[in-house]
Amino acid sequence: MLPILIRGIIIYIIVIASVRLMGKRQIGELQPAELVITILLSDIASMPLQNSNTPLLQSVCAIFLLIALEIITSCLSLRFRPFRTLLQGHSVMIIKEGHLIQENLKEIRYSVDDVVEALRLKDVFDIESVNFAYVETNGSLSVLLKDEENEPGELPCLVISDGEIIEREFDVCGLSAEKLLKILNENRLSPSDILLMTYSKAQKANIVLKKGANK
Amino acid sequence: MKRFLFALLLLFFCFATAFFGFYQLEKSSLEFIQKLSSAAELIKSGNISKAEDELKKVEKLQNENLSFNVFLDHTTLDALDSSLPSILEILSSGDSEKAFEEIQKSIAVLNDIIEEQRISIGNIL
Repeated sequence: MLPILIRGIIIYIIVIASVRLMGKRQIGELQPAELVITILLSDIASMPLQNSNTPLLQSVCAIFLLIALEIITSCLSLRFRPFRTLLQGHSVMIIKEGHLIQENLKEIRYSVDDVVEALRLKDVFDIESVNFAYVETNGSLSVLLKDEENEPGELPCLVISDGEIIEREFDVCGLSAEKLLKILNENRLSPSDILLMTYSKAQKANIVLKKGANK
Repeated sequence: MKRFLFALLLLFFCFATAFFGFYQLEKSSLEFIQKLSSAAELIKSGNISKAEDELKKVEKLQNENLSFNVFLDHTTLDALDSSLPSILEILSSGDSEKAFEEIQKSIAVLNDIIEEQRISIGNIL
């Protein structure tokens, strides 16, 4: 009985330390890889507590392996966008300027019932009032409502992220590669100087420079 | 960057522990197999008292061996722990044939321990 108690304390400390090491992302809404890690971690941690015949070191090593893999994949995701897309996918627009994008709904296997339910959970009971809606990589729905006159407004799009140009959103905000180049040249910037750039149909560009980048 | 390096260190620790564990288990198992085989040979040649001494040495080694306690499943460990005293008991009761068979079983268990630790398609799947 006593060895089980001591194992419990050791496992508890290791799991708490693991969750802290993996960072706040685990505590908030989970990406698919993070969900997998969380489930596996809890299963592995319970093994030496349920079965005293299982060597403790096996479970500890397995937990350490999962933490290491999680940290490595999150660092690689941060560094390489294609890897991040492979692991997490990307957000999908399902409502654009008040219209349901049916092809995108089919792509992510989201039924209309799912859309309506998700909107209700966001306290939106009238789909007509929705301007833009995205299904995020963690499955949640983000909604931009139309303004008070029920007129479609503008959605600022992310066009540069951490130095990388994101062409996927260009047609949503009416941007082209040439226009982007013009804006960058006017500001004497290159994409690698930019941490974040958004652009809206009103031709408003919002630029956040990387630390140390000179304008 | 610090976390990435820490993660690499953890990964290294996991693999180092696994390889170390495999090496220790293999080394200890082969040592026991060798001693059990000599005991079996001594039983075959009729030298019962020397065989008993050899088995007692193996029992002592097993009790002092930490790697089995740390890396091995305790069910297997318990089976090994109980096999040696029972072999000695069988030998002192005069049934050398049965003792020989029990030694062969223990050798088979030790060989399985080594095989289960190897990286092979069978073990992975």
